[in-house]
Amino acid sequence: MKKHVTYIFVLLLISVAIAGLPNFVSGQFPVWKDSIAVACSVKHIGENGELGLGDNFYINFDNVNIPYCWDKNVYPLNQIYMYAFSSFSSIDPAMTVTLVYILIYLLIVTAVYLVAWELYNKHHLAFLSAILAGTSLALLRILTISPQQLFGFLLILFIVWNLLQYKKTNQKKYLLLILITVLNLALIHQLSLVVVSIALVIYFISIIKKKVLIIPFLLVAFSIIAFGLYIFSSGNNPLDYILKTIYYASTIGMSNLLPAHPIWEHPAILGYFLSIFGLFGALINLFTKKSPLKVFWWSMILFCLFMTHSYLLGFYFVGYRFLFFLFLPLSLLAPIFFVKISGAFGKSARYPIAIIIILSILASGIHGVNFLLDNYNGLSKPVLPTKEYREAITWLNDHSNKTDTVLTTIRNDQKYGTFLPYLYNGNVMIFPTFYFHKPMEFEFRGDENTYSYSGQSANPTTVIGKLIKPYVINTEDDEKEFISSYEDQRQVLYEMFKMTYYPKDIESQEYLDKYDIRFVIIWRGKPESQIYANTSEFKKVYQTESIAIYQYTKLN
Amino acid sequence: MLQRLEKINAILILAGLIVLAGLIIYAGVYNLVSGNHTSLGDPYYSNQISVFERSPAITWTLFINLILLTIHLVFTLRKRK
Repeated sequence: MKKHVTYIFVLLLISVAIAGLPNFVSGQFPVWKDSIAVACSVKHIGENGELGLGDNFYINFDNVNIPYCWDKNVYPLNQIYMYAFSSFSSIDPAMTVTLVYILIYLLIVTAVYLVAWELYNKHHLAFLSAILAGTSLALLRILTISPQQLFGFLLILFIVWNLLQYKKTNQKKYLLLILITVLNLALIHQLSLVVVSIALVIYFISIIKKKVLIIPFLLVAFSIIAFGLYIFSSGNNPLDYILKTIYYASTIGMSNLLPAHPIWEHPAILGYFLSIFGLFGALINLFTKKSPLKVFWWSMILFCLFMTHSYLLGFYFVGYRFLFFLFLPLSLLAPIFFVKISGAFGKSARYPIAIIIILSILASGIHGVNFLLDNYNGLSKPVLPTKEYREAITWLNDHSNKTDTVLTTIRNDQKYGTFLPYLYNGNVMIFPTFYFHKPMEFEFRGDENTYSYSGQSANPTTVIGKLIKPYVINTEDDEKEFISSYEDQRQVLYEMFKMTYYPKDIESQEYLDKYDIRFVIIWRGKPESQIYANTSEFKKVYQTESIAIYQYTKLN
Repeated sequence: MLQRLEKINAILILAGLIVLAGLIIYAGVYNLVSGNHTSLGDPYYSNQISVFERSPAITWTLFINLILLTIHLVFTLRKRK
């Protein structure tokens, strides 16, 4: 027991370092789109006592309002559990939710250790299994992008642990626990439910015990009924909902934004050492007659590989989502590699094995840290203003009056413009270049014209300090509705366009005076940065690496 | 004889894994020190796996390792029979 505690303690220290170091280096609190969405939902439940509809609800995080909230059909138990956790915390829901997800990541690593211990009864092998799982890019990616799936991984590990206990003791209570866990999965993470149900059904059929053959059917039937009843109770037709979900998943899969990765890229995605050891372990496992849960592991591996590459058959179901489940069987089968390789070294196996373990921990760890750092830097940007941006706006607040208006632009890869109304004390005018994928009354120049939108965009646009409803553009009707909503404001948009791209024109200067524009915030590398650099009417008063602030000096 | 070959293969695997780990650690430290993160966030969304992850040296070492492991797998399975 004492040895277990020591190993788990070291394991958690390493995991905390891997998850925390990139955060420390990037200097940003790890806040991501989906954890913000959950936080938003948690806040909604707290204020209204029920799950929300996912529209127009803003969460305040660090003085920034973020418009993204799940509706009640999206992982409802995930939302409720997170609300339960947050109700014990006095800090902001966004921070609580992120910290709880990091905690679940640590629980997953510990769970892998405990399941591996059940399989191999060796501390160092269980430890290695857990390290490979904890540093797998599949798990780290889920931690940063879709942390809600962490619940799914944790529950799958709980199911595996119960399966092993059932195999050992033949006690029915473990089957009951599996059933309860599967029911939980139906409302907490449906994709995990699909993957584990398929593996469980095939496994139970394979052990051919008449008494337990009913189990897989109960599992599937109960989970489908539970999910269906929930969807029905929330006012939707379950069949419609499921078809819509499949359509949505396949539409995203077809998008160029989410390319399918060929099989030779899998080691880079799952982690090199995990892939090598896991593949070897899985193959040995396949050829071993009495190996525990062989059918379960291989059902999961083959199903996930099939779904990952389903695009070859013309189906697109966001294949990479299935690929990530592979880290579970691979990390739990990886120790077989060490058992076999130590056989080849004979009595002198201790040192080579120690070298491999230490090197694989170091290499996997640094790969994971790099991956997380990239993700923290890349993914926090769309949802949080950078330190540089905050400092610029603080400077602006110190050097302007509340009546001064600021003009700026936003676009799809720099959404900070949307935060300006919350950070700046005065009025703001934001030219929403982000939305215009089609020219309106005026033409765009250069790259600005070639904007294509993502179906998932939902950002608020501020025009003269007024927040317009964020739009989710999924269909042509949504697009028409969105464009028509700007009909009334074409003149204002035209004036903003003139001020932004033709500030020297006499017409533009009329508008600058009309709206009391005193400052213009310009992003480096955008066409307008050149335009403003060459005007005598605008004086550069603030400059950092990516932001410049110009002051309009020719105010009447 | 076969046992000896298996041991030599195991030593080669060990050497291959050391080289692979060395390359990954070097690339990782280089990235951290230089701040040259090329994948700009999530490679799945940016349609790029970073240069770090596409390193030909890493890919080739991995490939050689897989060949050595296949040989080891054959030895292991043969022994069982």
